[in-house]
Amino acid sequence: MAVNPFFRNDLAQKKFLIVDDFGDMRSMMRGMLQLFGCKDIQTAASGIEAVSRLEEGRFDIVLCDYNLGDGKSGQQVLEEARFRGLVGYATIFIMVTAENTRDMVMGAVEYEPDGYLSKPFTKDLLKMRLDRLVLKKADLGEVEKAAQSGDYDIAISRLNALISSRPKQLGELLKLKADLCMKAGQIDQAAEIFQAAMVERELDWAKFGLARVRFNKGQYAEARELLQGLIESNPNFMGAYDWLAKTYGMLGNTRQAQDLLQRAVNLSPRAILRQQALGGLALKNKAHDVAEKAFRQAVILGRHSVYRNVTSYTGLAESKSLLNKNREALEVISQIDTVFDRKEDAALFARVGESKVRQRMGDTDGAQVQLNAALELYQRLGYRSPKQATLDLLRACLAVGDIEQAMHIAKSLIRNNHDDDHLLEEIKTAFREANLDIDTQTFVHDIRHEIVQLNNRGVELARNGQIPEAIKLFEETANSNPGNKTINLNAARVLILQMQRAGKKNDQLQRAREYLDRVRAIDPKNQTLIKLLVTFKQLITAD
Amino acid sequence: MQFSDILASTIHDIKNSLSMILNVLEQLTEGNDIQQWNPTQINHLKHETRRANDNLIQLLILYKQDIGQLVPHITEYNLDEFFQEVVAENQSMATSRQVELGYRCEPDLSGYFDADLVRGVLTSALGNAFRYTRDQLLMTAEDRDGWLVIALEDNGRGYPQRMLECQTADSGEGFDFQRTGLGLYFAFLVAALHSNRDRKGFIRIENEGTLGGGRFSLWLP
Repeated sequence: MAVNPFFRNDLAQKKFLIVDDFGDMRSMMRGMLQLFGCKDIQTAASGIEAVSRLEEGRFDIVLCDYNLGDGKSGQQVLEEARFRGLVGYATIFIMVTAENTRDMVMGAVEYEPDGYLSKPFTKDLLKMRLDRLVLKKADLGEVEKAAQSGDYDIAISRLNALISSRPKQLGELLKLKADLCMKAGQIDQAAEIFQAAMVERELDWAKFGLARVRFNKGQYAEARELLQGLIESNPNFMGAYDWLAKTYGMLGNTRQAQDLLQRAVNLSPRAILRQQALGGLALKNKAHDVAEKAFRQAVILGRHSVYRNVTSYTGLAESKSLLNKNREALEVISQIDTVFDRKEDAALFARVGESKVRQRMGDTDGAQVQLNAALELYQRLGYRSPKQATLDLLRACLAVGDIEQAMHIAKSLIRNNHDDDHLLEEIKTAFREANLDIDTQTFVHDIRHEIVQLNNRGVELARNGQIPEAIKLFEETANSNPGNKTINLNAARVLILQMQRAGKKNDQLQRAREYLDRVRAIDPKNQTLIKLLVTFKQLITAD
Repeated sequence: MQFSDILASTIHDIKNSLSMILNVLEQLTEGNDIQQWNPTQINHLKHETRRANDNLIQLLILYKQDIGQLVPHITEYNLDEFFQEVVAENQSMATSRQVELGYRCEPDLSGYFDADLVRGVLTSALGNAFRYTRDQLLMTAEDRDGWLVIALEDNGRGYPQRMLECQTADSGEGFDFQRTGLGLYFAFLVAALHSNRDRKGFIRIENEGTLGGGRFSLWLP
């Protein structure tokens, strides 16, 4: 087994953090570690304390109990620590669970620990697990480093080298590779791995992967079948509920999706993203009481979560308002400014939300004041206005009868998101529900068509080698549609192409960077963006 | 077997362990000098505490099974690493009882099973085997016609005839658990929770082990 010579394998030298709400458990684990010769051991009695320890210093190994009583759970500690970069790829994070709680997070979470340890365990078992995880980290650390920075291609090629060199954990490595392929958008390669794994036996992870592949390819009926089978054989596999609900949504069964998520929430009530999704579905289905409950949970859970989202607050306000609790709705909205530290995008959500509530209360003047404030924020944010908030703003304009403004916003939304079919449908629905005498179908189609044409022409020019012409076209289009990811990425791409051929130019470098930055501001994990950034970096450092 | 029967017999078992512990502790504390604690008594304490703990874990698992919430968490596991962990957990007991505890399997052998559940079965089987073996215990794992066979062998006198007779069918199903005790019932349940397509896991007891004593095996598909 190849071990990185710079990696310290000696447990005694490592820096430990033990997180458990029971004092006896903490001292027991500390005692075990001391028997292994470990000296640098800190402890935390709650999730919040764990996070402050992690803020203060770097740890090599974190042993964190999953169930920490009230407040943050172990999973939330992990999420916050990874999300905020408090633990790097080199830190080993071990989740200590009571029997079977691990099912609750399977496939449902973005951040997974490096290992699980089920209680009770002896010191010998702990020692063996720690030694093994240290070795595993030495092998996989570089893969994780690349994956965490979003560079999936490099992560996959490093993983391939491992796969060809050590067959002992082949299954685990293949699973990891398939997940990376999914993230990198290499759906077919992922599908191949999932299918190969299913030949011998029905493996939950492979079945789940295959379902996501089907979903990704728009084969919703197939995805539904796989996910239903998964839930039937393993009712604790929470990730399957989330994806089945999404699948139902795509098939137009929002009622079924809501019922399913309700079941999932009853099984595992602490998942904030699931509560948010349930709230959204319930609003759509006009089940306002369900929505209120789900969004209230999302707000409460969000207090300690990286997934805290302003839409939980606006969703809660909206459902309260629809239940005629307008006072309470305004109260919820008033929290947004303090909780989100007066950030402009959150404020946009707040002002639009308040406008809708005031309109419903009959306070037309108040509604208009809020709407004006929202429009001002919208202008200032420009292409950085969140899609959902802009859509809400569009609806609010329609609600007060400002058709001209609504058309203006719709136009900009379509131009900046011409390939987001879901959003285009939402826009059409908003106009339809306002009962206006407008042919929305044609309106949306024409604007979309214009952008598609421009993009195709640019691609065609580039393909024919007319790079300067392609640059001109893409830059013009990008500057009039700064929120359009496809166009801005293409503008950067042709500029880079030009410089690869004709040499670097400072002004072109600067402009390419500007287009890439725009996309990064909207969608930092975009795979095309990440690949272009790599090429761009190579271009800068090249002679 | 009904859960209420299991509950009663396990409570009885745990009660026995606890009264043993209490008894030993009382003997020990009559002399006040901790330095003079005798190692046999300490090991006795350790053993009974472990037994009570294992019993409670089993009970919890059986309870989950009873209310239909027991779902095995089946993943790929390397058997060599798995045995290393089991040996590590039971080494001190083996040393104190002067039993040689080892395992044998291909280093690259891997299989699909719920490691926590199977470890629980092996630990409880070991707990019994320590009492019946002479001085050797061997765990083995191999692939037999697509079945993963995990076995525990001892060099004691083997299973008594009446227990072997409880095993009616060749498949290893059809134990009369009222007569064999809870440990085997638990093992049987865990084995049966492991299924692959149309095959279901089972257990077997026999006296044809390589060490000359009893052999308990788990057959997982």
